[in-house]
This record gives sequence, C-alpha cells and structure tokens, in this order.
Amino acid sequence: MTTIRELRVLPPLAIGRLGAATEPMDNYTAEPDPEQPLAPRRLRPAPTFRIDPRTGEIASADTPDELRFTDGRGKVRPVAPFLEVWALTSDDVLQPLTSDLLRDNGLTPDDVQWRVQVGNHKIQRRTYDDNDRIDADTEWFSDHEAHELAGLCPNFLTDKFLPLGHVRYVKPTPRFPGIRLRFTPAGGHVYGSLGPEDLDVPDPNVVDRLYDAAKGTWRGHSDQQGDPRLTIPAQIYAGDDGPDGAWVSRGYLDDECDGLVRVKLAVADAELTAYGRIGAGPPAYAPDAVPIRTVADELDQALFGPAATADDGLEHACAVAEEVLRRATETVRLMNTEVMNGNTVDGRVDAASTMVRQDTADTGRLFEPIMAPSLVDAAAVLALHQNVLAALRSGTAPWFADVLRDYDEVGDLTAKGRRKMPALMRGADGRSLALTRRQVDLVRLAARQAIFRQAGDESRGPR
Amino acid sequence: MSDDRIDPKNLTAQLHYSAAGNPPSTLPESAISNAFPGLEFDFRNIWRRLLVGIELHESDNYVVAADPEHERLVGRRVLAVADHDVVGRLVGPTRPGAGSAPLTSTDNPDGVTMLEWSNSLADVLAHHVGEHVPCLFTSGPAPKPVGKPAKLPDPGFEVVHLQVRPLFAESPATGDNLAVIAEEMAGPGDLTRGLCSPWQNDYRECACYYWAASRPDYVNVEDTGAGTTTGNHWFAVDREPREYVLDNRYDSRLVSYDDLFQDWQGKLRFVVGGNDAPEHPEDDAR
Amino acid sequence: MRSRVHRHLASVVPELFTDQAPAMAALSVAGSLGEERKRPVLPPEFDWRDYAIMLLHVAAEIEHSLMVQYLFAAYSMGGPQVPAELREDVRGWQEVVLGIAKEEMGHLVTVQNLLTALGGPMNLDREDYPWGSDFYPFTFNLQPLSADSLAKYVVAESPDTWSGAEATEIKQRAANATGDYVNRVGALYSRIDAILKDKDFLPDDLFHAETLPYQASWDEWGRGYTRGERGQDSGNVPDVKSPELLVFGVFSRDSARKALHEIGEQGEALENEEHDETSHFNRFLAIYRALTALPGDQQALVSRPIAENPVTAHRLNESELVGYAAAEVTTHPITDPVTALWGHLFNLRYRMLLTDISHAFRLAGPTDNGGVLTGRGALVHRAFAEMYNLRALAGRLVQLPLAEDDPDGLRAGPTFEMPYSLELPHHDHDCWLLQRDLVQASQLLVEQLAHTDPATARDPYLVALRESDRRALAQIEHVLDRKGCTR
Repeated sequence: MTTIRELRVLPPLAIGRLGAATEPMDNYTAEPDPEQPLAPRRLRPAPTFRIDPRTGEIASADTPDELRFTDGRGKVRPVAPFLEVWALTSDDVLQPLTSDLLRDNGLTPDDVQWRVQVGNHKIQRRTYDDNDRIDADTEWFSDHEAHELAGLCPNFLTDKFLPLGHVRYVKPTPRFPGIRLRFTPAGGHVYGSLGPEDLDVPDPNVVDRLYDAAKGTWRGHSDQQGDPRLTIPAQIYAGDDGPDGAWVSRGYLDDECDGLVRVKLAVADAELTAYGRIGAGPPAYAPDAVPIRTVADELDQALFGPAATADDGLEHACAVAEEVLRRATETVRLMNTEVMNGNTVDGRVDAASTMVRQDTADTGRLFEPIMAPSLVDAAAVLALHQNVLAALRSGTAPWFADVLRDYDEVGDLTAKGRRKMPALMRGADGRSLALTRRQVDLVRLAARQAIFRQAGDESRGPR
Repeated sequence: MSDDRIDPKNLTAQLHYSAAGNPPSTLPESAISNAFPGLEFDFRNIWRRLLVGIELHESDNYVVAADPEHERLVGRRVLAVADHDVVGRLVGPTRPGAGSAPLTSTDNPDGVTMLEWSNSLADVLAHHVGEHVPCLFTSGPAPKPVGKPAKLPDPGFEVVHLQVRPLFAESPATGDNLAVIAEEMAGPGDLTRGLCSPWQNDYRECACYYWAASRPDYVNVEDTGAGTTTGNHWFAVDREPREYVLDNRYDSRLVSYDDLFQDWQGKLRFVVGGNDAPEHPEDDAR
Repeated sequence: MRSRVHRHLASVVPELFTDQAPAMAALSVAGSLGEERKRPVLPPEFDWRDYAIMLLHVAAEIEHSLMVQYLFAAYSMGGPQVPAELREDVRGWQEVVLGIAKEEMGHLVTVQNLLTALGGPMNLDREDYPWGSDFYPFTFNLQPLSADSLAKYVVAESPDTWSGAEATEIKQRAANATGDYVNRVGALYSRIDAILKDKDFLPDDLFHAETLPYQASWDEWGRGYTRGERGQDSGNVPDVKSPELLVFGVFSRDSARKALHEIGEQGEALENEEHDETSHFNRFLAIYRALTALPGDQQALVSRPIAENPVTAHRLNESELVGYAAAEVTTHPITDPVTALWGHLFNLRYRMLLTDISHAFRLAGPTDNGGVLTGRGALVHRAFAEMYNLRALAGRLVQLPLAEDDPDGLRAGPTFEMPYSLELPHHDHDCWLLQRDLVQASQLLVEQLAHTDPATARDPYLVALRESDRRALAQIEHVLDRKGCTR
C-alpha cells in the first residue's frame, strides 16, 4: 500500500488577481508561436474548471471558444488560482493527493482540513501601529462552502471588515478526485476612513468606509522626512499636499492581501501539515508578455545560488538566454523607448517620469538621455531585439552577455554604465535594473559554451 | 489533477508547477520582482529576517528591530555580510562632457547606493545557512547611508557575528529544502505590506520603466512614413487621435487617480499583441 | 586593390614604383614617407583635398579588409573537436579577436567621418578577393586561425621598433605564409596626417563642422563599448577585457588629426608602444604565444576545419590559385548547393549591413536631443541587426560542408563576397527601394533554401529571419508610401 508520509501544497506560491466580475478568469496558455517566434506569445483558451456554487464540485472542464478578460460590462474577471495537495508517499515520489489515495490510507476527503490566513499590513507598515494590521483567518474547515476572507482590524469601525475574497475546498468527484482549494481574490475596491466630522461628506472614490479615523492615525498620516524606516520609495499612498511638503494620507485602503494556505491531515497517528502561499495583486494587463525579472527568478536564485551549477547544462543555459531576450523584446514592445530614454519631446525637457529623471533626482547626476537620442524609436529598438532573438535561435552564442548589467554595477551612472542591459528600467534598489546573478551567469555560460557545438550533437543545435 | 509524479527533490518542478485550471498569470513567472515597491508582491520583504536576532528594512541596510540580545544594533546599518558588500558606490558625470566622479550629497555624504538584497545576499544564502557569519555594522546609529571604510578595523564600524536563517521551509520527512518560503521569513501580509495603499497609486505614479510587460505604456503602435512610430499611452482615455500623451497625472486626456480609484476596471484595457483587446465597454468593435 | 587607386600610390610608397619612371618622375621632389621632414608631394591629377580624400578611401578599404579577416579568424574558432581543457582558452581568444574586429569597425566608421567632414564620398567598398596589394600589410586572405595566420596579424599590427629573437621568428613565419610583410598602414596614416596638419594644403574652411549630425558617433555606434577606458571584463569571458570602440566625430582640423591619431594608436601606428597591453599587436601576440606553446596536434584543433576564402561563385568548380606578389591565395568554391545558398544569404546580409551604414550617413540624427526622430536610428539598429545575422550565418557556415561530394570534408565558412556596387541612389525614395529590394532578395533566398533543403523550412533561425524580414518590409513600405516622399 502507498502510504502518505508528507503533504505539500503546489504551487508553493499562487497569485490571484483582483476583479469584480462574478465569473473568474478562464484558463489559457501563453506560449511562443513556433511559426512566428518573434511575435508576442500566443494566447489560447485551455480547459477551464467551473465550480458549481451549490455543491463546490467541478461541474465542467470545457475549453472556452475565446478568451475574455472582462465580463464585457466593465468588470474584470478575477484570476482565482487552485492550490493542490500533493503527497510524498512511501514510494518516495510526490503524487497528487486524491480521494483514492486517501481511501488507501483509510481516510476520506472530509479528513482533510484547511485554514487560510491572509493579511493586508500596508497601513501598519506606514503607521507602525499594530492595531492597523488587517488580518483574516478562516480557522480550520473541511466543508466545501465558500469561506469569506474577512479582514479584521482593531482600528476599524465597529462591525466593519475588509472583504479579501474567499476560499473554497473543491469537493472531489470521481472525475476530479484531487484535493484542491480555490482562492478567489477580492473585487479590487477602494475603501476609506470615517471620522466623526465627515458623516455627510460623500467620497465617490470609496465603496465603503471601514477605518475609524478616531481610533487610528491612518487618515491624516504623513511619512516623516528623514525617518530611515520609511518605505522606499516613501509617500506611496493616496494623499494630498499638506503643510511643509507633507503628503497627507486620505485614509484609503485596498483589498489586496497575501498569506498562507494551510492543510492538515491525520494519517495513522501522525498529523501531517503543509502550507502554500497566496497573494492578490492587480491583473496582468499584457497577459502575452512576461516581465524581464520575475518572482520565479528570485526564488530560483534563492534555491540554487547566484551561479550556474553543474546541473545547469548548456541547453538550459541557452534556453534561459533566449527567454531573457524574449522577455526584453516583450517589454520593449510595450514601452515608449523614445520617452523613457529621456529624449526631449516636442521641445519639452524631462518630459516624463523616467530613469533619467530618477538618476538626477536621486544622485545629482547630469540630466541627459541614456542612449543616443537618435536611436530610441520604439520600432527600431524592437526590430533590433527581434533580430538578436532571431540570431540567437541559430544556435550561436548569446554574445549580448557582455552588455548585461552586473548587480554591483547599479551605481555606475556613467554613459556606459547606464546603457547596459536591461536599460531604461528600474530595479528593486531604485537604480537601473540588473537581472538576477543567476540569470546573468546562465546567459554567460551559454555564451562561453555555444561555439563548441556541432549540428546534430544536440537536439536544439542548428540543423 | 494530473497523474504526474514529481521527484520530491526536484524543486524547480514544484516551484513552477502549474496546477490544472490555472492560467499562467497565477505563476511566479507572471509576477514582477523589480519591486520598487512592486505590483503583486513587494518581494524584498523575504530578506528582512535572514539574520537571526535582527530585522532589516525590506529595502535598505538599516536595522529596524532586534531581539533584546542585539537591541544595540537597532538604527545601525550593515555594510557587509560574510564579506559580501551590500552597498555600492555611485559614480557618474555632473556636467556635460565631464568625467565620472562620486555622486555625493548632504543626504548621501558617502555617495553609496543600496544593492538589492536578493543579489547581494545570494552568496550568503547559498553558502552560509545555519552558520554564524561576520556582519559589518556601523558602530552607532546611522540614519543616512554610509559607505564602507577603505580599510578595517575602523572605529566607526563593528563586526558582529549573526546566524543565517534558511529562507525556505524544510521537509519534515526528508529534511531537504521545500520550494515554499519559510513561515518565519514572511507571515500573512508581509509580502504585500510595502506596496502602495491603495495599489492604484503604483499604477499612476510608477512609469513603465518598472514593468512595461505588466503595466503597459505604449500601445496600439503603428509605423509612420518617417520610419518611426506612433501609438497611444495606455492611460489615454480616448484612443483617437493615435498619439502618445506624455504621462502627467493632471492631463485630462489620461486617466486620473480618481478614475482609477473609482473605476479602474472600466478604464484600463487589456493589451494583447500590443493592441487593446477588443472587449472594452466603450469599444464598438463588439 | 583596384588598379585605379593603386596607380596613385607612388606618392606614398615610392619604393614600389622605382621601375616605373613616369610615376617616379612626378614625385621627384617627394622622398619616401619615412623621412618625416619631407613635405608630402601632390601626385598628378589631384589637388590636396581630393588627394586627402583618396588616401582616406584607401585607409577605409584597409580597415574594412582587416576587420573581415579578423572576423573570419574569430568565427573559425570552436567546434566539437576542441579538447575540453582548451575550451576556456579558445573562447577567450575568440573574444579577443572579435574585440579587435569590432575596434576595426570603429576605425572604419571614423574614417567615414573624416571623409564626411571633408565633404568626400564615403567608402565602404573593398576589392573582392582574391586580391593583394603592395600597399597592404599582407595579401587579403580569409583563413581560419592558426599560428601562421596569427603571425601575419601580429606582424601587420607590430610597431616599427619591434625586434628580437621572437620578432625575427614571427616575422619569418609571416613571411613564409604571405611573402611580403612590411607594415605600410602606419605610413599611410602618417601621410594623411602630414596633409591634414598643413593649412596650406587644407584651409580650415574645408572641415565642415555642420556635417556632425550626419557623422557616426560613439553614442550611436559604441554599443556601450568603452570610450577611452578598456579594462572592464567583457562579461562573455572572464579576464577578457571588453573592446574599446573608437568613433570620433570630426569638425575641425584638430579633431580630424586626433581621430586619425587615436585609431592609429589602437592598432597600426608606427609609434605604438610595445608594452601597451591594449594594442592589437600585443593582444594578437599574446594569443600567438599561447597557441604556439601548445603541441602541434593540439594547435590544429583550435579551429574548425574550414576552407580558406570560401566563395559562392558557382561557375567555378575547382579551386583557383591566384598569384599575387609572393603569395598564393586559394579560393574554395562552395559546391554543396545548400551550403552555397547559405553563403549567398551571408553575402546578401553583408551587403545589407554596408547599405544600412551608408544609408544612415545620409540621414541626420537629431542635432540635439530635442530633434524629431528620423529613420536614422532604425538604420543604425538595422546595421547592428545585420551584424548579429552575420554572426549567426557564419556560425552556420562553419558547420556546413564545402563540397557536395564530400560531406565529411572541409567546412565552408563566411564568404564575405562584395556586392557589385555600394553606391546609394541619389534620391531618398530610391534608397528605400533598394532597401526593399534587399529584403525581398533575402526572402527569395530563404524560400529557395526551404525548397532545396526541406529541413530548413523548420530551421528556427530561418523561421525567425523570415518574420523579421516581413516586419522590415512593412516598415519600408510605410516609408515608401509616405506622402510627399521626395523623388
């Protein structure tokens, strides 16, 4: 008999995306089109689970005819991820936890328990007041109802809570026997604060007022200049100008959150637990594009270290190089590179918020465009990226490795330093973006090794 | 659910696992990590508690809190961890044609810039988990950025040995790393705490040099006869005329903060293939 | 070198013309160039400005030829036969030689700037091979990297003062390989400088500062390769410094002389410091030393077994020997029909590169950063895109068989055959028509490849190239459709 030794929740980090439409976003795939390898990724509908709201079962898994990101009436369809439970079994493999596997272990789906704890601590991060933490906790459950994620906060008005979406333990069926939970994030609403003096003043920006401005300081809060604990960047909340350059909070809050999805199962005499993570953010508005540097790259580096390892073969390195370039192409496609370069536009200097402006504002560096102003028309830059991508697909070395910015070069604001790739973009340290060191090292591995290939040696090699 | 089997040691497969029914926008690959502060997460927060006994600012080398044993470190700055620098020098020109010089100011007298944790601490995480490593701190509170001294020892700096915490949870059955971030590194709310409140502020304030692929900038782009392009700003209320309106929160041709607070779902458009997806309520296309 | 140019060169290298009495008679007051105090003498049929322009044409041709030969050598390195323990070195050497080739590209572009500033026509032409010149440091010969070919490059870039046992040995090896090895590139630059510096020859008003917006700039062409500070690791290969791409704008006599001086210093000038690590000479010498330190059988494994001077000329079906001076140059026609098509594609993209560069010189960039964008940026980017294409195609050609009947024999290599003409049409509209012609020719070749070798229909590079050509064509059509486009 296959016994369950350990549980794991997969994916370990699932992202939900806000939206107020009733029906969650359909499933789809986004893959490069082999016939048009330089074009955006091709979006294609994929089998989509519809949950029966009455039973909590998967009622169908049909593929929609077309992709629709909104309900057509101005509401965005929320992205509501499923989290599956997997079991490390006595066979030393991970396999999905199903009603069959439970039965083999003398258990039923009712023995699986879930608990979801999420928080929105944006206000507390600014006010440093623990009474400004907003937390939701479903406590343990094993039914198949929708469990609301009700965000509670000591500084809320009496009986008010922040709706952070809901979770549901999907009821296994013979056709869909897997143990899974679905997280449906909130509608993406803005909420406000209420003080005793403003009962009659309507605020069209908010759908409700939750925060008690008499109890907490969020409304009227301003980040104190010179406080080294401030968020970086600071003053990033809805506000208005106050005296002495203060940015005074309007007391708004949103319904984003992140937290843990816990699962618990008593097997024989052991209680097995596991957790995954969820978060809710805004929609991916260009769903056929992948950002240059993603949370997956952070986790990949944290798991495997900053350098390519012995397990990273040339094929993997080449694939990473191509993916980096594809993502760069996707970003360039959606960027007004002329403006982002800091060109003077229609006679207007410093015409928009750009890295050029940031470099000067943060460091006093001379204000000047990053690339030669003549070079940065979007079509020209895109065509160049596409050609490099095309050439890369010939199987030759990714020679652009030598223009990648190293992580410790972000303070190099010379013309050369700022022109390294990725250019015109901002990283987590506020300066020009560098890739993860592991991304860079893999591209360089490909650059060093690719010239020793011969057609036919490897499947991906040139023909 | 698939019938797949996964090698429990294959963390890549677990990290990138795409559960049945989940579109790609649920995957970590879809979330930006140039977090300043971020969109889906402010992922810098996972590093705050890497060193046992102190809590770091999520994006600065400043100690914001500490256990009683290390209380004296609060308010100080850490310059290097296990001999890996976490700050770098700022250099560049200050006038046209001039050479490069340190970029200093009263707020940044040493002309330094913070290196993001995920890259500067990558070696520490890769090689020193569980070990006590030397950490170079300023010897007193340092509200402003500080550069590393030319040589050590230096009376302005002090080495304290701190233990490195694992970033990932551990498998109870095998003791190996799991692909999920450890609970002690980030509790509920920690990964989003640094984001704008509300998040719409991020969309309005942060230009596309952060995340063009997630928050597009230049859409409906077409060639011109001059061999260049024209197109719309993503925030343009109207798509005609097809011209790029420079981003400005007060320009009535672009969506405003209030527009976003009240009706971001009705105002923003999904972009597929670089063009507006034909499903906006104001579009006559459908 | 074309005889129509060559016949004028008695003015620079009179020793080559001693048997030609009329040429020498015209130069009787000159004296050879090495004698510094002698004033340059104007050869027949010229005035000074025109003569300076003619000499710059020669300089451009030499820089172009060096670049191509170095590129060929760089592309030849690698292959599965390289022993594992040598791979790091070989990759490093390739990076160094590619870097030198990139720097030659900078020289070539700077010479175009000089020409533009003087109001001369630019020159991206060079004679097709096989050719040699008494003027040229060595016979133009596309060869894979070997101790022999390296010896030529070392000697060609060597300073006047280089001597000693090693110098003698390398010079001897180079002489055996090519015959003549006198470095006259430095002499050419000295002669040009002697003209540039003299107001009597070229008054100040002949240097046209207003052409700067049309000239190439480091900001546009440098691609981040350092201006004036080699030293950063290249990134591709640890310990290989990134190349220093010199592109100088020319707006006056002094800026012209500085540009010439700097590019001379980087490689060919006679005054070069022997211990200067950044010179081409020292970089080539370092590779030569490392390579010759290897046992002979290992030396042979550094490069792929590729043919010298591969050509697509299909009417030739056997190797052709061309005697020139003391050297013999062998061309190798590509007889494998598929490889030949790849070679044609290479030649075409090479032509597109040269066309893009000269077309870019036709269009001004914004005179400050406030100007309206023109197609110039697109052309500069397209030129770089073609460099990537050439690298990709070269990577393919070094793996493909030369001869149809010998699939395991010699490989081909990048062909670098010159187009029939590089003259741009007079009207802008017609330049874009030419651009369209070239893209369409590329599309035809890709189709032909798919027809000849059905496997190439799924070739990931060709699929991508087809797509980028489609996109380029659409952009060109937009320009051609422009209302009021001047004709």
